[in-house]
Amino acid sequence: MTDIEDIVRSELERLYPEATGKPDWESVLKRAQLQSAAETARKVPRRWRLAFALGLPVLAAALAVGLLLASPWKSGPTAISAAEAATILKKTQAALTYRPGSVEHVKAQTTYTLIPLKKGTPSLAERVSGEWWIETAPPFQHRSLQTYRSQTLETGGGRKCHAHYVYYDPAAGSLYRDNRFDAADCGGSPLPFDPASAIRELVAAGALKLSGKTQIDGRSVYRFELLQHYYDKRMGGYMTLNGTGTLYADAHDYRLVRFEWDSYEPQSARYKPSPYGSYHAVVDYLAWDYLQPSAANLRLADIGKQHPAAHASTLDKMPNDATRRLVELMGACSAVPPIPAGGLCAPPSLVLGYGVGR
Amino acid sequence: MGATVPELETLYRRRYGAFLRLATAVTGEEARGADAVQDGFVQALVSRSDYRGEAPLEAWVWRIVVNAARAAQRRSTAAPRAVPATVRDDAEEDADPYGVHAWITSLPEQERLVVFLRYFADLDYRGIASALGVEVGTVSATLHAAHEALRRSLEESQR
Repeated sequence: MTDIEDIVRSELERLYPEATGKPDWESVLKRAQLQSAAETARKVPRRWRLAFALGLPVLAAALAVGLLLASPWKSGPTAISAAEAATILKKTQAALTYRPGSVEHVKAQTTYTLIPLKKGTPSLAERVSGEWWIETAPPFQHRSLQTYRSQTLETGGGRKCHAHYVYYDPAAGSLYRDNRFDAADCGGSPLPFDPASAIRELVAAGALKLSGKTQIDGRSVYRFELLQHYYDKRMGGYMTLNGTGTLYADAHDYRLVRFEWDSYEPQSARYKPSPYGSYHAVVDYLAWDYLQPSAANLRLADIGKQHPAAHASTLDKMPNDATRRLVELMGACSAVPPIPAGGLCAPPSLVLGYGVGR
Repeated sequence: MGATVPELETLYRRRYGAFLRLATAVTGEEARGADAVQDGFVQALVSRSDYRGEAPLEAWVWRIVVNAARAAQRRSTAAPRAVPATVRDDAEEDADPYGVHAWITSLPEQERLVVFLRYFADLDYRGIASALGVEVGTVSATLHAAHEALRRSLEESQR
């Protein structure tokens, strides 16, 4: 090696330090399986599509089995008796049930893998990270910070029940309220987006089944499979899970660790034009706490108190700026039409894995 | 011929650090670099039957990952960066004694990729040519010219 090559090599090592990310082959495998399945579906003649659609649950099960066989879980799911399973489900429910009056604090990161509708288009991975503070008693204030492509959208709301109807625009120094949801049906729950209530509903409906014990990043977790497809009437069908879903809870404290699901319905096609159809989503829960209802913690859940000097307005008056574009991408999806091409629709319900009610 | 899943998995696990480093350098952000590596390997798995064995498997995969990283960079809402922001911020003149940072920044994308593949991926000229879909002579000439330019720059700075 010449001197000049030595210099280049050592300088490049300094300028571009070793990246710290960890490999995740299982994710590569699963995405490849999904993409192959989607491409196979596209090749099926029209007359067979109905039969194919009817067979989707079987395909989903086959994919799940395939993943299981291909996974690094050397011993496979640990055998758990029915009685133990019932106890574990109860403990998981308890761990995810808020203490009334507390401020629920959740931090999560969601990775979406969008499956293209056309062959030759590569799948697209998008990541959204978020943090939420949810008051679990009237007036049910809640606030969230969601970051997508290095841009953060702050949203909040409260009073009646519905999440996600006030947006803070730092450039305009204003809070914009989406008043279309003022009379929204709360679905019988003051916290329709509370993950605990969603999971309770799933358990009550017999829709979650403990399927084993495994490891995630060295953490021992229980794995629950979603047994049905879901349609969330509270959001007018906005959240629909058509496919498989898996939920993981810590085997020691039963807190939710991960929720992942596949959607076979071309969700984004509802917000055309988009080159992507179904998707695979993985939500990693980084924190899940119930904070004391102190003044400081309650303030965290109150977007108005976070910005006491902000001018109050309505969403239709939001200027066409960066925050508006973020609302289009990450907000209420249809709040500020039109959704741009390839727009990612990721309301807090989706990012948190909510909206899995009946 | 085609590549097998175990072959791709072995390559992924063995060389993940190098793939991630290059993809991060191209996209300017580790998270997007990591996504690009995942995208690239998904694509490699899905199209593994297309591998004809005309070049080493690693070079074939590098080509896919480099394309995924370039696509991710184009999709990024941020302005294209030659180097990560963290590097750029402290890359003042005194922090760049040999001018390598300035040199890398000034290179056209294709030449920068040649340099990255040479030094991050440790590919030989044939491997780089295969990964980028160019002639071996082009790689050789590019690296030679790039090294000469840097050498001249160094000599001038030492005068």
